[in-house]
Amino acid sequence: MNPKLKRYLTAYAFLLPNGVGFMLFMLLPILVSFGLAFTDCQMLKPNIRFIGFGNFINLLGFYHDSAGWHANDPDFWYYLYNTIFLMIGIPISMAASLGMAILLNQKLKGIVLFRTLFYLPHICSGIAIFMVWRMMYHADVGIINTILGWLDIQGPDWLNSITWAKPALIIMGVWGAAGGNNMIIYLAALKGVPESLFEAADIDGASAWQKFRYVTWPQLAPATFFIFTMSIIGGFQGGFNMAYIMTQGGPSGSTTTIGYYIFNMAYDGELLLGYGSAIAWVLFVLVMGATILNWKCGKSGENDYA
Amino acid sequence: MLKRIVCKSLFLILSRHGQLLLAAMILMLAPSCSSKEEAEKKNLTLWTSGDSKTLAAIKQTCIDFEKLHPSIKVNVEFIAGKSRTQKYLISMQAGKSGDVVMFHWAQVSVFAPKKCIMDLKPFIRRDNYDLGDYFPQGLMAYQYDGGQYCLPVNGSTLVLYYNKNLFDQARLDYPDDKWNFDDFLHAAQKLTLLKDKDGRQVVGCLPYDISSWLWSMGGEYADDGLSRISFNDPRTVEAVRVFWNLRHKWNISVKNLNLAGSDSTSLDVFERGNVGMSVSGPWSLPSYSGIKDFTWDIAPFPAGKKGRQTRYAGMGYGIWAKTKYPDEAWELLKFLQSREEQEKRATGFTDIPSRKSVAYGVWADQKAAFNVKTLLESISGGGDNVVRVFPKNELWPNISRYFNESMDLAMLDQISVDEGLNRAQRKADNFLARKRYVPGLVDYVGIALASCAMFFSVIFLSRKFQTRKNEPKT
Repeated sequence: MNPKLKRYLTAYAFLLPNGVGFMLFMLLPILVSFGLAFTDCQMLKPNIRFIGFGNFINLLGFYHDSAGWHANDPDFWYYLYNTIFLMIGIPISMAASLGMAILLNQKLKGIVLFRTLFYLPHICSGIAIFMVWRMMYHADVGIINTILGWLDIQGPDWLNSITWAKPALIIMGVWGAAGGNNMIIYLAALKGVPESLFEAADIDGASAWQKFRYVTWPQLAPATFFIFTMSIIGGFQGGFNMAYIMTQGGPSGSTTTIGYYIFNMAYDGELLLGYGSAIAWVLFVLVMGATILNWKCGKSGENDYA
Repeated sequence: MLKRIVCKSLFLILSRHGQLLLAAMILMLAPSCSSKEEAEKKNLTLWTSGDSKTLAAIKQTCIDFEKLHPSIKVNVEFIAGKSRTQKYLISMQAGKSGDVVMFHWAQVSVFAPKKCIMDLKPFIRRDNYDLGDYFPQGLMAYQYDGGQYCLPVNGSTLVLYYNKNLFDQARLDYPDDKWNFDDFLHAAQKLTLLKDKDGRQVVGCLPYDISSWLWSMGGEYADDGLSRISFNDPRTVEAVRVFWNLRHKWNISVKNLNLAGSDSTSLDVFERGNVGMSVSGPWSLPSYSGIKDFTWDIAPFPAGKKGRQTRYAGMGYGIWAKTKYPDEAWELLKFLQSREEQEKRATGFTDIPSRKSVAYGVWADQKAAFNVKTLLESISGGGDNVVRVFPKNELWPNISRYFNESMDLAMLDQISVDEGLNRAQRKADNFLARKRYVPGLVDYVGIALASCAMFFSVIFLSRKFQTRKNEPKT
């Protein structure tokens, strides 16, 4: 056998299990969902009818009547607003992760213990965390309102209030994300900043803030770009677990995200798999657009600092 | 090459690890080598739920059934309540489901229109199965479009639990079957003037969900065909306003309850002793039975303008439409629902058995510290007592979502009741008026272009990535 051919065959043989798994469990469902998005497929309904762009028109279209213009699916736009609102937590959690990484980058005795403790929330069961936070947010006996009570502040009914439900979820999200993988990535990036740059800054008489602003921060640009891109992708897709466990999307849909809406469409109510697939593909386009935009802005920013 | 493979294989087999592996494989395969008798048995799967006592009783019932029907093997699987609908949907969609399945009453209008569960009427007619012993309200809850899709296992409706100590403290007469809404309101308002042992204001009533109040006050949701949605009907508006007033005008209920009327983490619960009255069903009895600090009892739901109209709650057994053994599944269902087997399971007071003979017999004879007769009369119906269910339509979950979301806003005082109901009506009407989309040439061309664009963009991006990878690093 030709040695080059043998090498190729060996390589493909090693890739085959993963490739078959990818095709069966990732590619095939993606293609099927693309097809379903153009049908009126309903769970348990035997006949599927091709309806072209009907689902997308019902989702994204508008109609006009005597009262003015109205969205065909006003819920979609509201849930999209909820999804984007919840992404306010992304820069906050990134800043918190960076702060933690800077603190954990010091040469102190027992620093490994602190790194473990800060990373613990990330490896705890998500369900358990949501249940604990739900109790913490309790209007009467929750620890947060109890502490606010000591300070003479009347705490809101966090998860039952339309005004406070989303900020409550953002606070919980920041707590969970701050000490997670983002912190690890920043920690690794901080280790990669050359000492010579800090020495040069010291020689020039730079303060701690100036060192961070002009030495550390530019060196973290690639890590920041990566974390921001992945967080945006995760932000658009996320919010399902929190909504399902803590709030069931309420009160009055104020914590329903696009991800939870897709689940509700496909597995609740009319069981519209076709419509749910259409929403998923619209979400994909949004995520793709946000990622490309981020890529363009981020790459040019990286080049400025390179 | 072949010689090498054979030698290597033999080596593996004869090595210690190979022997262990071979033994493990034999052990794993052994159970599948069943006897001929086992292979000829018809395997039925029963999907059910309940507490540990009920499950143990059901398993024993199935063992007794197998003794009477040696050619049938029953496998009992427990399905947790919360994820039941998703489990059923996915399993039935995949073509695998229990043969006899326990359904919540509200699930019948989801599964019956999609022909996922069998209409039992042909079986009932064929065997002259006597339905006379069942509570009619229980049978009604599982009917859809003229068919009978389940036989009820148990059923109940809402009643009024009241704290006798608080009533004595407020010098109020205990509620009875003559109580109307005005009597209820008067008592609730007097109870909220009291303070509990911790100095907190007593809650007059926990009202549970809106449906029973809405119907009793003369309101309506919609008809079964959803040809008329009555959300903004003046009678419905007035009925919802009464429910709203319980919290915001008369202050006899707590404000932090969601529309479903219950918050499991709330401090204001009946068991704590700071709630004068609580609307709930028999499912609260196991929890209330442990109350030691005060005495309590049960009264009928207060009658409104349209009498006493309360919502049904219960579970039933149905047969999966694609079962391989429909006749055997029907035999199992009949056995499970037989009077003798229901009597064995009629312990405790979590729910009322669906057979009148069992409910009024063994079940009612149990020792109880409360008025069992009231519970039985509440499910019996008759006169001004009506037990109801939501509109039986597969689109109802969507329509009810609009109602519940708008009512959440109204109950949280974000919008007025009128505005909320108008909003729900508008959304429901728009939803029902959706036109069936007919695709044209534009759709076909557009989809073809979109598919090509996706395919070529994947090729383009992968080639760009390849080009970048091959660029010399500076």
